[in-house]
Amino acid sequence: MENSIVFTHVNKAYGNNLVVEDLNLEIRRGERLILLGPSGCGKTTTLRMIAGLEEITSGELYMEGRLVNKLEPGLRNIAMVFQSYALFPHMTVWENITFGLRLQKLAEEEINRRGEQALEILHLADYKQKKTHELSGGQKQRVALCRALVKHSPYFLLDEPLSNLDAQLRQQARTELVRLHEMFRPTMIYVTHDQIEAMTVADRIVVMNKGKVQQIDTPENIYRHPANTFVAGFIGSPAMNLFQGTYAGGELYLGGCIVSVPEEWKSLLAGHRDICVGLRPEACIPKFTEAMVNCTVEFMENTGNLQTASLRLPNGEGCFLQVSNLRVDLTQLVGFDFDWSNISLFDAATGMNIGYVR
Amino acid sequence: MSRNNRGAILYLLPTAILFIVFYYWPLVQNLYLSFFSWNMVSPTLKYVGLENFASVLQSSELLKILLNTCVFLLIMLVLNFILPYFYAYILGHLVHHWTSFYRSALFLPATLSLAVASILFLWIYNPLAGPLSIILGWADLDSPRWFKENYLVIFAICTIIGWKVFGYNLIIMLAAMVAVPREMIEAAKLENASNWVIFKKIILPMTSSTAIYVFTITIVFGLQYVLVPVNMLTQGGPNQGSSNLVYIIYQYAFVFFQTGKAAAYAVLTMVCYALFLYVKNKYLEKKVYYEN
Amino acid sequence: MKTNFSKEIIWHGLLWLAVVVMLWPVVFMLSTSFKDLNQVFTATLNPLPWPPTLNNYLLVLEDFPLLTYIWNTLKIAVGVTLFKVGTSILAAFAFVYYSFRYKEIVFNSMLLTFFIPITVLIMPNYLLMSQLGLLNTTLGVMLPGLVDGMGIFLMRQTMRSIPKALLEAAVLDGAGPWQVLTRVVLPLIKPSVFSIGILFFINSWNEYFWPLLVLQDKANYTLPLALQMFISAEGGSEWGIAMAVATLTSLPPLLLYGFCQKFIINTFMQAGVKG
Repeated sequence: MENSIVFTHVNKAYGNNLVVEDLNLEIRRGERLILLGPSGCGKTTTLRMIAGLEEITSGELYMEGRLVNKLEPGLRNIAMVFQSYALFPHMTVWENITFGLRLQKLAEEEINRRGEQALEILHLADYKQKKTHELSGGQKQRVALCRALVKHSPYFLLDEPLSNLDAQLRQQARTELVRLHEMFRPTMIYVTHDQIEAMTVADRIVVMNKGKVQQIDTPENIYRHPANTFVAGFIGSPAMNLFQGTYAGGELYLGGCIVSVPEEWKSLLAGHRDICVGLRPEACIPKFTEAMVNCTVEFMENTGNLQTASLRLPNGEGCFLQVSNLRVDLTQLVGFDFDWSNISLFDAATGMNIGYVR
Repeated sequence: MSRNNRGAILYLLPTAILFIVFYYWPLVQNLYLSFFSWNMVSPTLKYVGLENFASVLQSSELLKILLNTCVFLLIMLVLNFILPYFYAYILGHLVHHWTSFYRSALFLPATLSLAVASILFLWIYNPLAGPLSIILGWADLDSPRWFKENYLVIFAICTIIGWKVFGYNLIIMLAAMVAVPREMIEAAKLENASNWVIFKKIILPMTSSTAIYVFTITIVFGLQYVLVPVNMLTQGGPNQGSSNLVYIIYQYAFVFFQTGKAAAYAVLTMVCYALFLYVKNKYLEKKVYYEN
Repeated sequence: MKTNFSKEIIWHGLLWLAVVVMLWPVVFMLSTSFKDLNQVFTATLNPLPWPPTLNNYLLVLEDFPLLTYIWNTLKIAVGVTLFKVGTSILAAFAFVYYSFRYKEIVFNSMLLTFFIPITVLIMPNYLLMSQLGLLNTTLGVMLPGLVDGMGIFLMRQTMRSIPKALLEAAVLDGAGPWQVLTRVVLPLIKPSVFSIGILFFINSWNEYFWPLLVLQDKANYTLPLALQMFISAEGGSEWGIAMAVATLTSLPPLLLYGFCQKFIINTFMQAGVKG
């Protein structure tokens, strides 16, 4: 796949405040790329730089190989859905979605064709002449999508498009978004702080924190192999357990227990002493007699489909364990085992992933 | 938002030109004229250096003018600042019925011309047959000659301004009053706070920025509003008893035709205004609460 | 919240007192204008003159070019209002839409003009008008009033209330600044523009001082200036006629206020004063 949008060494600063730092990112044509991170991480700023709504302080931004740092937003042929939807309250649904087309002075038949098609796709045909304040939240969101759709733009930017919807609608809208994208395959850049949205929608996820890219990868890789402790802690709910560990003499000291290390992992760990061991709650295997890591149960949560136990290790560290089997009585467990293939190892000092044995 | 900044100039140009020609250039010209002796008609201006300033600053008239100005301001601060402030509190928080009627009724005089107000009050204050003299007569009081006595004339003129401006200032402060979050006041009421405590501890600090603004416009505009009744009813009299820092400029320019002294007074007035705004920004603004 | 009315009674008393003080002069003006010379002095305080007479109005119409005065005032007020709304919108839009260097300074220097006392400006402006040959002309009265720091401030406040995303959406759709202004901003702030316009109109209609200097010929007088003619040195006795002219002068502002008071008051309340 070719690259459609390329950031090279892009910085964005407000005064002395650096909000995006040395961003290098290649976005492929037609992919669904999600910018994910906590609020204030620079993800929205990144999106707005693509749209041209934020000036780039330094570095270069290319679209289709063309340097666009100074290109006016209106000339970038970008379709964007705003968090607030930004529907014009003084216009009807139809006027809203055809506003841009009229500015482009498209022929009347073309405007009608595109508009009707978009309304059809998003099931809004009955609302054509309604004013936007007569619409529900979900309908407004679809009108916003509609307005983006009619532009037939190669770029589809979305800034937290689902955050104003309630939980049920959000699920539905997510599916709708993916369906829409499959239909036209524009390059889609989607900003969210909701990791479920990110995991379900994305081809690739860019995890950002404090203006810096933490990891760019597929949802599966980000979940299974986080690049650093930030990503490990940010993705998943409950988050990945992170234990302080020490590797010495071929053995791993973990939570006050001693775990022997398989041969192939020893070479990976060689040269490391203080490390951070990451283990997903569902990768902890409950044990009722003898376990690799001993612990006591602090409290239990049953959400109907899952059981989650909060555990305390001998050295006082806490962690979570999650099973989908509702029949086991987790209060009886004495510890847990884990499969080495499910483990992530980080350098304790830098927080960076040491690597995996494949 | 847009970075094509040259566009901004296009939108600002008409305004900027008018402001420069009719607002900023006159300031410069006043300064220029203040160094000359001229009568507005003679073809030549005579350079006199600082003489105009010297004669203005040494005249006993200046003292009287400044004193009058202070009296004007004091009375107007009561009528147009303190009074509307309390009324805004009453209207915003203490009553819950007919509020929009009160608002509309109290604002109404603000829409009328000061020229109308002046002639109206000239009749109301008429010492021989005016309605006020009749009302005073019920109490066996003789009506004073409102516009003919020193200081009384200032009071009478201030009531005209007060009548016209009260509602306007009230509405501005009412906006600040109703912007104080209801929960905050309800929380205080749950603590059994009295209206007075609520006023002192919540309303006063939360509305202080607007109060400062109204304080400022009361002073800055007050003297300008005064021009109309002064010019229509007293021409500064009796014996300059209702002249003030702003009116005297007009008198020297268009009554005595001494442009030099008029300009000198104008420069002086501008300095006073600038000083006032500076002091206000420096000392008052710091102490107030701003929401943003 | 249910509140106890009797607890508020003292506050209502105070408010009514203020209402009476504010409205009584207006009522008094109206009633006096319908009184004949005799009634003016014998029934001074009676708010309902009986029988009411239209003589004062007829007399003014006969003896004074009243229609000319009305026309003069209207001409100036409409011209000033339209132009001032225009310049205020353009300037306010520049401050909202663009970001440029010294923006705050430029804005503040425009706002500050609002605080310059008029008498400081009248002499230089008078000299300028006389040089331009604009004394005694409508244009001469209008020119310095075509911009207004307060107008720019109020317009900027209203424009700021529009969510930025709306403007950005229009920009992304390819709208230039002019299209953003005319197709998005103006339709959204129409009510505020309307009420700010009404305020401008009322202010210009009521203006006294500057027209007094520029308009020397009585034929060019505006209504507030004409009022001056009914003040005789000794207090005079033509109060019925004076009040009739005062009533006529007040009528347009009062009518506008009557129809649009909610509008006008809300604009003031919403614009807030501190930005």
